[in-house]
Amino acid sequence: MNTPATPLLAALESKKLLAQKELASKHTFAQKWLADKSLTLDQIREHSAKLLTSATLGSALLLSAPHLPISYTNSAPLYKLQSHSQNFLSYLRSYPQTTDSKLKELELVDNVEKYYGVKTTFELEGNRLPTYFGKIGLEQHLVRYPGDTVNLHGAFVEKGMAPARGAFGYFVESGKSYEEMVKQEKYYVVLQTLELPNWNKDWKYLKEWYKFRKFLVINLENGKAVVGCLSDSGPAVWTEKQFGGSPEVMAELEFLPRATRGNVLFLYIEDPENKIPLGPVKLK
Amino acid sequence: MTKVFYDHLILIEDIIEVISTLNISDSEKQTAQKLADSIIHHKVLILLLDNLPKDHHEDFLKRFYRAPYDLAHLKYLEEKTQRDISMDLVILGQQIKREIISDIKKHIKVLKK
Repeated sequence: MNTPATPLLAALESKKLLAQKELASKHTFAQKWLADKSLTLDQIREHSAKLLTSATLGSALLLSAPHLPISYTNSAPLYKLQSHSQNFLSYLRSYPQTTDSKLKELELVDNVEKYYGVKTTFELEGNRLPTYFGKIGLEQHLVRYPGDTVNLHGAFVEKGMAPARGAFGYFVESGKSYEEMVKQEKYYVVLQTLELPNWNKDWKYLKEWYKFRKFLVINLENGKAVVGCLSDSGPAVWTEKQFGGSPEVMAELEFLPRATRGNVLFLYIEDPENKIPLGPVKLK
Repeated sequence: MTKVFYDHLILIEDIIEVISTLNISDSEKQTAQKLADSIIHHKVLILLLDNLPKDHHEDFLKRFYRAPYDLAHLKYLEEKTQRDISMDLVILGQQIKREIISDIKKHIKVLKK
């Protein structure tokens, strides 16, 4: 019988199965070893309880605790969310851009979620970007379908249109609505896919994976942000820019009309159900 | 709930607290808690074995099987992996909790009182 809790339980069950599969595929020996002992990880607490009920082990537990680092033993949060949007912007600007600390990354994406309501991540399905902080530069319009002309784009026609279609092909695809196609080009972004460390080896998979993927781009100067859709590869390394944005993206970030480049934070968006709309996002 | 040696680093209580606020039956709450617990145990073991050299897998599994609660495993793991494994577990705990609580929140409108 379905109850309101059914979808939640199904989602958790599916997560559990995925974790079980991952363990079985990566660590077959361990999976088999546990099976030989007739132990599943679901039973680990019961197993532990049985062992602890023996009186001799009760005291062993007490004796084994002292070497624990004190900093890990309390339940205080490991980092704080910024208390005000201005503090958040200062925090963003002073973020150590070359850190490889996952804790710092979690802290940043939790802050981003608090201030933009968008769930972002530094790593998605095992993929990471060469850089998350960098310079974004103005790009021209992109050809959406064969026969498209710049005048049909409505705004920023003076910025022109790229002579060739984007690296991921035309925007028009079967099953996609006209409105969606227009919006994808309007809010398109660019990153240096060729600089991904595994691009040469896995480019076939990566090209499909990155095609029209959503990213959150934040202007580090003013906190303006846009959800953009990856539609081309670039800019060239020699330009000393790492990202690109359509004229509309650059205007929403408020680089245009005064500048054609600026510093941004560029993050993957976690949106498995494709619910986050493309376009500007307000800083709360 | 009987302790396992990484409980104080993962703090599953945070998830249990969220689940306890949901307007679902006690048995459904219990199922959700068990599933969350199971996800954590699997993810933790994957992380530990990913970092532990293969030569020590069997030895660690034996130790874990003999005493799942024994905090001395952390010291053993730190020595064998040459990593701050406690911090790795703290970070993993944060990631898993974020994912699970996000799953729960997807259903919160339907479920919350």
